[in-house]
Amino acid sequence: MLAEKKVNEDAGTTESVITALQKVIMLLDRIKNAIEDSSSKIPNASVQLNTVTQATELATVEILDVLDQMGTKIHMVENGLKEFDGKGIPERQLLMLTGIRQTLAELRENTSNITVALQVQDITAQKIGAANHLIESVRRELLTELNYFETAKKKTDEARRYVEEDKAGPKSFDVNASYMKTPEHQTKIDEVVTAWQENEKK
Amino acid sequence: MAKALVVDDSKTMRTILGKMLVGIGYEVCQAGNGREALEVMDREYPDVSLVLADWNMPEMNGLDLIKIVRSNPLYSSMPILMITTRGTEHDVVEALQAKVNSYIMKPFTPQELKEKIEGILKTVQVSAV
Repeated sequence: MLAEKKVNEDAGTTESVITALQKVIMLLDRIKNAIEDSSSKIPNASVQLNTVTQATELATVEILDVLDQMGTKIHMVENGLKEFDGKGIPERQLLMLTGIRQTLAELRENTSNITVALQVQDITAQKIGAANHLIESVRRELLTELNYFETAKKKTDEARRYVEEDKAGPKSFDVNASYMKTPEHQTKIDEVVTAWQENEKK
Repeated sequence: MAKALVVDDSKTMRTILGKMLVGIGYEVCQAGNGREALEVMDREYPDVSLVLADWNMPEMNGLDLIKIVRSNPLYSSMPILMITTRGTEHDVVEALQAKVNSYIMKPFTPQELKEKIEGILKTVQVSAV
């Protein structure tokens, strides 16, 4: 009677272990599939980020060219207005000319300000480069984990090769690049430079 | 006309710097990284009289470029301005140790760039005397 009970208990335990193992196998399979799926999507994300950088760079250079053309036209109009200098024109038209000159000077200032603001493209590109680098690091980690699944070995080898061959996109960046530079920041840098130079003279 | 070499991997920055430098009377040549910059300097020798270099660049970064330039007797007194997004005291000191003449953080205005260049040229003239 006792022996029969023991056999039944053992059978129950074995069944539980098998059920648990089946669940673990299913879970591992799901994890493997999830890692494969995630790591296969990352190259697309990287390529898309690089495309954004290339597109904004192209657009920025085009804007800079247009600003250049505007500068040339402003210069031409300013030169044209010089024709009226010393010609004894009536007071009212003189006032208008002064207004036009002032507007042209403001336009020149505006184009200069836009040029300065467009430096944000380089700073953004560095941030995107840093994000891309991070994404690739995550992908490498995922691929390493995938290697534990023997059946996925071939796939991971191929995927790893893809990562190593992928040379597109900026490879150098400042992860802390920021557009928000305060005047105090540059002043501090200047102080360090001046102190260094003073020290060099001694 | 004096010639300035702009070294930056960003086409945007090369274009912006080029326009600013032309505006203050420089002729401009460009390079996309440190290695290219060394080639341009040798090719254009002795016309390049000012170098503006970014820090983060592929192949050869700005810091390594400056170290190589300074080790060459032909360019040991070449005025060099570091233009970068890196702004910690440690970064600035590292650049100064590599013997950069001055340091400006992005973004900057044409006026700020002009003042920095004038400051460098003044310092270089004083040390030459």
